[in-house]
Amino acid sequence: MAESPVIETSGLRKRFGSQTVLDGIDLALPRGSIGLLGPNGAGKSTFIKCLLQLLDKDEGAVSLLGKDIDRFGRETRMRIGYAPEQDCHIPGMLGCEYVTYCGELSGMPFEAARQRAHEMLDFVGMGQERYRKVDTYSTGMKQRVKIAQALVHDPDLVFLDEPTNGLDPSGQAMILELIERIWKDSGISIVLSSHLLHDVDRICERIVIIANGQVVAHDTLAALKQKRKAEAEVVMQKGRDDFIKALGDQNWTFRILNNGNIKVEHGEASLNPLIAFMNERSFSPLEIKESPDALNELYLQALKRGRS
Amino acid sequence: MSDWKPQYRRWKGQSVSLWKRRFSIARYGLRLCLAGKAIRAFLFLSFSQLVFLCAVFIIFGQLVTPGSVLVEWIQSKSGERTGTIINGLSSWALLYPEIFVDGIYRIGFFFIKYASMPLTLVIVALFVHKLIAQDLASQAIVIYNSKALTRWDYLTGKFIVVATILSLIWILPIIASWIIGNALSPDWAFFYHSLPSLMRGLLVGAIAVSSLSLIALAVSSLAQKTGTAIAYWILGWVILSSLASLSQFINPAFDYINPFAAIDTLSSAIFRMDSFISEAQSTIPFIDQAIARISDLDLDKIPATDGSIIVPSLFLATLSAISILIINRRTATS
Repeated sequence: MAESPVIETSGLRKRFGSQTVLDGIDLALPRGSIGLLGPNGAGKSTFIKCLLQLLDKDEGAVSLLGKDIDRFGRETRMRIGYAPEQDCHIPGMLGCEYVTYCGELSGMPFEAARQRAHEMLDFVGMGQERYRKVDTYSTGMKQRVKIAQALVHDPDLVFLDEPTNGLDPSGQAMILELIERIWKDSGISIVLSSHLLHDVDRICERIVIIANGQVVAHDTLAALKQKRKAEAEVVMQKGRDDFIKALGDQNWTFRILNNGNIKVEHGEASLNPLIAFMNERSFSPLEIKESPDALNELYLQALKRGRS
Repeated sequence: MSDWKPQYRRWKGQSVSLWKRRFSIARYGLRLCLAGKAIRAFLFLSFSQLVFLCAVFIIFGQLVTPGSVLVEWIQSKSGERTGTIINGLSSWALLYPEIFVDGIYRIGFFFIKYASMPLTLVIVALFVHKLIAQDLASQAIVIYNSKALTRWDYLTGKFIVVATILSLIWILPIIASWIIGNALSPDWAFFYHSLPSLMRGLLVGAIAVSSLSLIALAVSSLAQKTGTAIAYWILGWVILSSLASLSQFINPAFDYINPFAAIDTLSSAIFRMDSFISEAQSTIPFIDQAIARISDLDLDKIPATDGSIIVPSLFLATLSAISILIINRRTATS
């Protein structure tokens, strides 16, 4: 029997005044590590906020973990963790107090929440800093404590909104490693929202690309990476004219780019037939560039749509 | 980073009830609001009401008890004759416990509002910014709303915070002084005779606490920055008092736009000092003439008797409803 989706939306629409931020989103996402990718302002955060009922949706139906949020919002959120993009700590609280309090708000008894808070702070790599006020934390510490509070009640699904924002490369690497382990070690489904392709590419098994409030693409990372246009860019130093003539004989469509390189539509899943063809005729290219995979291409399209 | 090996362990415990979650918000909120020294000092000042009431009730209990420590002390200081007069008066008073016992408690509980009102103004100003304004300013409201709570659960927790602090001013002195005063009285029937006064005091306290709590929450939710919440609270009262003062030119009912004026009138109506005086006049010899000499009270003008209790109730209910609308609107979006 097929596993029920952890997130299911149908015709989800959200408007701010005359601007439509989410335009009829239909999705069914299974368990796993899911990347929500899109340029800034694409509607990723709004999408998450609508799922969590932090914003009221205008139209559509949403189910999380198999339950309709309109009917079981509170019960559903008990099994969900959320680390928002912006700082949202409670002023004056120590790190461990803050995480304990979040555990209590999620329905844990005080003692269990306190013990679990320390476990989660260990998990995110916080040491003695936990006894300092959250107000005094660096950006990296705030990101880690946000993840700890999202995990303290042991949810089944965690939303992480731009968790690497404002971090240096080593901080980013650490946070990404942590997020990767959440899914791999514990089986907690994660939804990682980011405008950085690298973040999502590294740890997510499934990708949803959003632009202008619409889902541009939704597939597994492997499938998106496999999907490529059957074309390649060939850089020739010698025998360029002969190569062009040979391509004509082969009935492969080609065009000459502004930089003088030749774009060949070889129509095959891999470059092997093109390489074999060149070998047979003793053409020695300087370079053969494979076309970008669908993930890159779709993301670039999304970025362009976002800018336009 | 190489030494860091994160371990994740699943939690299989039982979740607590919704009310426990609401009380967690209230518990933390109370700790935060009562953290300042100034608020503790003012709350200590509000306990002086309790001490004063306890002293009055204990002295009354001692005076009406033949052979009590106080009566014996007075006798030793003023002679046998004074003691005999006191004993005579106390015996006379105990003939009418429903008037004297209920009366002393009713008067005590009626006048407590004159201390509670200014204390409320000051004490709420000291913590109003820590209610909702701080959560809105720091965006902590997002965290609350993303947990297994609704906006109303959050607001219930916050309401408990304000209501608890205001109860220390409006209700605690009444309950505590009633218990202590009666426990130290010569006759435990005093509990019974003073019960109506306790009920009246609790009703006024409940009305004041609930309406003022909602107004405080609304003011707190209006502010984007914590500092402005205090300014709004103080300015709000200045403006409402100024508007209320215009009532003499517009309509006397307009006075109730100031919640304290509405509470004051409702308190007068609930305590029914008019009926108490009438009863005392008709029941106890000599009281009628004594009151006629010291008071020019016109019973027809007392709110409870002319039906105008509805107007302050409506004003207070409207102010509370507006407060709920403001709070709902301000905390709706994350």
